[in-house]
Amino acid sequence: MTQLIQTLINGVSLAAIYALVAVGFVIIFKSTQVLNFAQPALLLLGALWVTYFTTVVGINFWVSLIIAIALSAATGVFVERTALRPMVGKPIFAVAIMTIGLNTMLTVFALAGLGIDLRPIGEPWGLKTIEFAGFVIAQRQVAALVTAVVLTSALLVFFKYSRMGLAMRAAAFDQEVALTQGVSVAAVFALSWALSAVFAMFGGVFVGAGVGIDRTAAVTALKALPVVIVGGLDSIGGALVGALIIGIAETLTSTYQQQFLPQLGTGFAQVVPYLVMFVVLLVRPTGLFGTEEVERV
Amino acid sequence: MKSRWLLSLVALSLVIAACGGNGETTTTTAASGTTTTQGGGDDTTTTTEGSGDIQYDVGVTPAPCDDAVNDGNGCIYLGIISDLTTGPFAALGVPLTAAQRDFWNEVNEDGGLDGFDVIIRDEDVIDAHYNAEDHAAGYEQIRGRVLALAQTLGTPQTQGILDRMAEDNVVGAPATWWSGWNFAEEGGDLILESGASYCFEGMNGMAFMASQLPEGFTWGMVRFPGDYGGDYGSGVEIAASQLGLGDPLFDLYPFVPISAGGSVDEAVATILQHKPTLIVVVSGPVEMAQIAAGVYQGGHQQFQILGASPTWNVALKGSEAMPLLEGVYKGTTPWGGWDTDAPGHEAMRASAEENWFDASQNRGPSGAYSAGWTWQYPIKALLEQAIASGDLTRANVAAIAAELEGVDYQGILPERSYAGTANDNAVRHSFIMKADAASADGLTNISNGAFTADITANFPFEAPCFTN
Amino acid sequence: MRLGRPGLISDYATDTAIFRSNVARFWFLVLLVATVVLGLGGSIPLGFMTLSLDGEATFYLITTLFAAIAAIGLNLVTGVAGQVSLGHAFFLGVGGFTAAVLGGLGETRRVFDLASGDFVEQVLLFGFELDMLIWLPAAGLMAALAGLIVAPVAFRLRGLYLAVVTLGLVFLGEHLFREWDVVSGGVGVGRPTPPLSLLGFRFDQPSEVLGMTLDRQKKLFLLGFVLLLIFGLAAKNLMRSKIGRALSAIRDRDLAASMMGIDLSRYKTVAFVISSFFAGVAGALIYTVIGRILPESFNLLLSVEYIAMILIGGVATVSGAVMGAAFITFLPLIVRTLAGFPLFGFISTSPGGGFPTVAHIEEILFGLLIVVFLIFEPLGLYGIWIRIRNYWKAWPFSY
Repeated sequence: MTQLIQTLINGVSLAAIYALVAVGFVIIFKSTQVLNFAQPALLLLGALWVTYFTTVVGINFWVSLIIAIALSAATGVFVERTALRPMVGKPIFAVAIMTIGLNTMLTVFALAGLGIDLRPIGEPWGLKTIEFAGFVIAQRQVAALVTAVVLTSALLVFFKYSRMGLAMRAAAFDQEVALTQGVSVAAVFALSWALSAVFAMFGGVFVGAGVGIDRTAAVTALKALPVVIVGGLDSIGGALVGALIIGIAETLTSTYQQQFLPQLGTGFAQVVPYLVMFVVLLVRPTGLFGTEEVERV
Repeated sequence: MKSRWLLSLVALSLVIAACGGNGETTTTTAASGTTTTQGGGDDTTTTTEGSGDIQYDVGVTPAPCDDAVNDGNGCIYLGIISDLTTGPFAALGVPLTAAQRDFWNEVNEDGGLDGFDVIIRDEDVIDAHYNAEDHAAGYEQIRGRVLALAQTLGTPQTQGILDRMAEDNVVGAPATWWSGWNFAEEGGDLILESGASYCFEGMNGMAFMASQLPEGFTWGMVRFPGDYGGDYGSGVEIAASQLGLGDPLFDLYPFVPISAGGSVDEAVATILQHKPTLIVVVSGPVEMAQIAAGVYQGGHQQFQILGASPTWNVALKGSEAMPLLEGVYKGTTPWGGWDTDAPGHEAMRASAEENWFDASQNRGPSGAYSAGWTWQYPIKALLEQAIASGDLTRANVAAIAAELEGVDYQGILPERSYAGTANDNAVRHSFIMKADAASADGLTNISNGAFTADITANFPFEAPCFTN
Repeated sequence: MRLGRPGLISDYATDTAIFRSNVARFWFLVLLVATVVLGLGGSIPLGFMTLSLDGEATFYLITTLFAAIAAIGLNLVTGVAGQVSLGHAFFLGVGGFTAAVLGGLGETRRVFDLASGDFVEQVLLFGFELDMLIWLPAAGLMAALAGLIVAPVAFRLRGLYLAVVTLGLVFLGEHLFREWDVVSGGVGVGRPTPPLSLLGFRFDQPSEVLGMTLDRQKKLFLLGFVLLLIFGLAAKNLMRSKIGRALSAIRDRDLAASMMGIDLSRYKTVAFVISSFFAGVAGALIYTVIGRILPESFNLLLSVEYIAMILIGGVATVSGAVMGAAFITFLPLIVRTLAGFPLFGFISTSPGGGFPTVAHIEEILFGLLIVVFLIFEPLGLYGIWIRIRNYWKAWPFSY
């Protein structure tokens, strides 16, 4: 029982990281209809900024975090302006594949900056733990969960109550109508990329929290893809639910599969997100909370 | 009608093929009298030219190297196939490669090898991303222009090109410690390995830990796939069974590297289920540190780690996990640490300080740099003996390599011979280290110098511990 | 049959012909002859320069020929039928391992069995040492079978969902290859590939053919060339057949296509199966030429490379796929050559030294080319070629 609860705690904290990256996917998809395969690179770049300011420049983690947020947002806007803007109106596949190309390029820069070795993030939690009702919980896990909850709530409030948030929802609903109503769709696009890059950055910080970050961190961002697919590409709530399902499914597998189903091999937990995705899509081809497409000839 | 078109096309192309082939053969024949053969290994005729008294063919010129250190000397070209940018072992490949180029630079600055400078040109250094295909393509690129390989990184990658190396008579220094390189039937005649294999490292490490830990301790293993995990794990298992330590509580094998899409979660969960005293970890440094951190945070705090040499990276010194690792990490290495007092180490340190250290790029003392350096001594001895024999042709170099004797490691390792059986000439000692933030490379020796367990010393080394 | 103005197409048969004019035929032949001569190590004097391939380029050329077969396959499903597949690497892998198992050597080892206390034979690798005549088609068929199994998921899904699901397929496939080590040799280990022996004739060893000595490289080149010719023409034929027209209709508007009576699930399945067959055959050959096959080679990056090939080469054309395959395969060589020019002196050729190195530039260029082609020339190299051709066709009145 203890083990099960401990596993669930780990699952939720993993889900928090997935949720951060997945929300980034959804923001961009909702407002621009682009599935952004460059999210892994944005995650690496974000983590790079943080580790650069904490270790190379040597300033306080929180100050670094603020600078990194600004730089990540700027990266997002820059990418949108240079590469995505000319693609407005092109087929969605073409844009999606172009983001794969972007990912390749950005990853090279991120890795060159990150260097070949493991780099500490410099966050205050380190390997400290807290004990709660007999369970050991790492502080970084709590921090990840709190960050994911706070940021996503803030995002929902922003969408619901702010003027810009309303504009983003309008643009997501129908770009042309939004334009005629005086919404600056260009600003909406830029903002959604900025937000998405910042979410990816936070994902990167928590992937690297504890031991440090290196080139392999981008793998996590790829696993957020099944998360958004399970939840439905255009639903933030769906992304959260998807993150919980997949995070918990993955940790449950990594804890119990060796005991009960060793035939499936080691590392099976790593493909569980994709398996869950297959199953969900067979039942609901647009994910759990995705909008069903209405087709007209 | 369409199909006739198709047929005639195919037929035509075959005819053309035949004609083209003819022309080509004549050019080769015409050329073979005057030029050296390109490595295209199927061409077995080797053309030799005399330069003074020295015979040579591919990868050697009587003319000096470009920007030669010694203008009067001829030039020997060596190649490297490594992992330099995007592969999982780039953190090792870069310092390895730098050390090897520095090594030959020092040799040249001391006057070279009796009339020859040795050079590893930029274009002969291949970045194969630890990928067997790129490795094969890389070998194809340089096979026609180098005499031997100063480094070929990765066991399966090296096995993939072994046939072609044998065809070309190309000798190589490995960047792996697989126990199979000691055996001629595994291609060991062409591969000049240095130091104890993973297998012996595992034996020594396990025997040492058994002498330190209270009797009846429990243990388990987490290990990477392939020769690395296989070989080290076999050594640990042999030691455990001979010392009566019992079976491992768990053996997670193959444990998928993070770079290949794996995660340490499964390993941590398995360890926490069994809560062993000793965890044998055969992985990369990131995986090792994450496992240590995960197990500690998961509530199991009384454990020790025994890690193979590649589980350590000096970068861990700066990580949040270092205080923990100082308490739990014990590792094995095939030779002494950075600050070892030996002439070879001294030369290596001097070279590194001059050429490698760079604070702005996080470049400092590095286990990989000293490994790259050490692996060059057999190649140096080989070239010296080949020059002395007056024949630098690949065939002769390969023949000497198979029976090479008297390799001087300047005290880093004892003098080594490759002649005779593996059981006679294999190196069997390791160094047992512990994590220590105060030392240059983050490791301090705790075995009082070289350590050979009795089991290792008496092990009948008649076959590789692990074959794949 | 072909009277009147050149380029005037007045009947359907001419419009769908493989070569629309004698000019096309002529240039195709020239290209054929030139490629064969080059591949065999000959040189072509062009007046101002001499074209020839040295040993290194030949290796890339051979890889290109086989990669082109797989790229044509991907072009059928993604270019012609419009179903974006990121799962091509998986089918290449299925082909590669099928070939390795059927044609390769098996391996057993004696191990101590703790349960019985005896030594037992343990199979390390399956291998049947069959002839290439069997393993090559079998590689294609196994991959096609895999395509057939995947197809039902594929035709339920559309658009980006399909892309992500096929991406998932790569990860699941990689896990399968990794874990099934009696087939694949295991991660980081892999297994040697089978000898290229067709009814006793060795493609991977030098021998006398029709009175002349052909070495391994030249034989492999010829093999690849003939196979590419066969697969290329087959694909071209397929595209102009009923199936090809149905697939294009599905790409252009699937709903409209189904209203015209095209069975969507049937044709999507056909596209996946044929495309996988191409990939399987190519996978078997590519890795056999390399000499070793590893389970982790069949990852997302490989799929992306093939997507890049057809994007850069030209979507939905055979010649585009070939051009793209050549371009991507030769990219490392191109970058290394560029680094030699003073203009590109900023590229560091020193290994592991500084930024950007040749490897960095290679990756950046790879990404950049995808981006640039999508923005500026969606038709790829093929489109550029058409533009150049049209410019000279109308010269001097081209504007």
